[in-house]
Amino acid sequence: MEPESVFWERRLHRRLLEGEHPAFADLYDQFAAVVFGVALRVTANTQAAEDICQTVFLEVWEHPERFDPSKGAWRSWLATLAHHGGVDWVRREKAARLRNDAEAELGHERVPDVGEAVESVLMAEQTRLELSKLSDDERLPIRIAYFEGKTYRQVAQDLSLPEGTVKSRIRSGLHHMADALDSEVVGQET
Amino acid sequence: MDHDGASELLGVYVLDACEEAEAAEVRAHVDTCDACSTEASRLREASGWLGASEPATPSAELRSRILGAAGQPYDDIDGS
Repeated sequence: MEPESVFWERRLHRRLLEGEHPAFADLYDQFAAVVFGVALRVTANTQAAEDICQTVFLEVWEHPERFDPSKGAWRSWLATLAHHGGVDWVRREKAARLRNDAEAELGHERVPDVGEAVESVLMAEQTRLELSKLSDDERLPIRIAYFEGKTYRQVAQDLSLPEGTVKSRIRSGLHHMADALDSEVVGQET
Repeated sequence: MDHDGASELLGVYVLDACEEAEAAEVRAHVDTCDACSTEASRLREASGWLGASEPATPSAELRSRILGAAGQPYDDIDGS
């Protein structure tokens, strides 16, 4: 069965609802790189990213009913949970001012990843491609807000733009990504 | 928060880029508005894919810790 096909996603969900331990290992092995990657990118802190990764996966193990396969993919949902965790950590620790130092350290940790699942690499390339298709006006505020865990007000300050402009560019950029992913990534999965 | 105010915040809301109080107001509106709920789901799905662009493999120790914490039978933890 093709990982991340609609059938695979729903079957995995059913197995998790039944409390199957091997299903949890399958979920982890398929998506750990995404969950850890988001958390590491947002927090720039390995320990925090590991803790977030553990929290996200154990939450799914304990409450698989919170995932609704009719509303989206496991990959997207897990990335969203990891992002929430990362943003919470960044804001709680007020770590934004330390990012420059932390990112220098991060550069050494994030070496190319030979053990990574091929699917993850392809998906990453696909998403990077969709992001690269956006205009700079849309891509930049999305990248800063998402990967640096900043509020739109902070993004507006960083880019010297009105807050309303940042709000509308992020919204339209996400719509453009959704349109592109509908036709390309999701189309491949069904 | 009215519909127009909430809908213009939907993009930043799904990116976790609102202040907490503002996010709570958007969430309250989204829970009662079909149009905003549909749009938020669609934008959230797109934002979730952003995470796929930066994968990083965690340590084997983390895998053992997480599977162990979920009560995974010991023999299965190092099996893959």
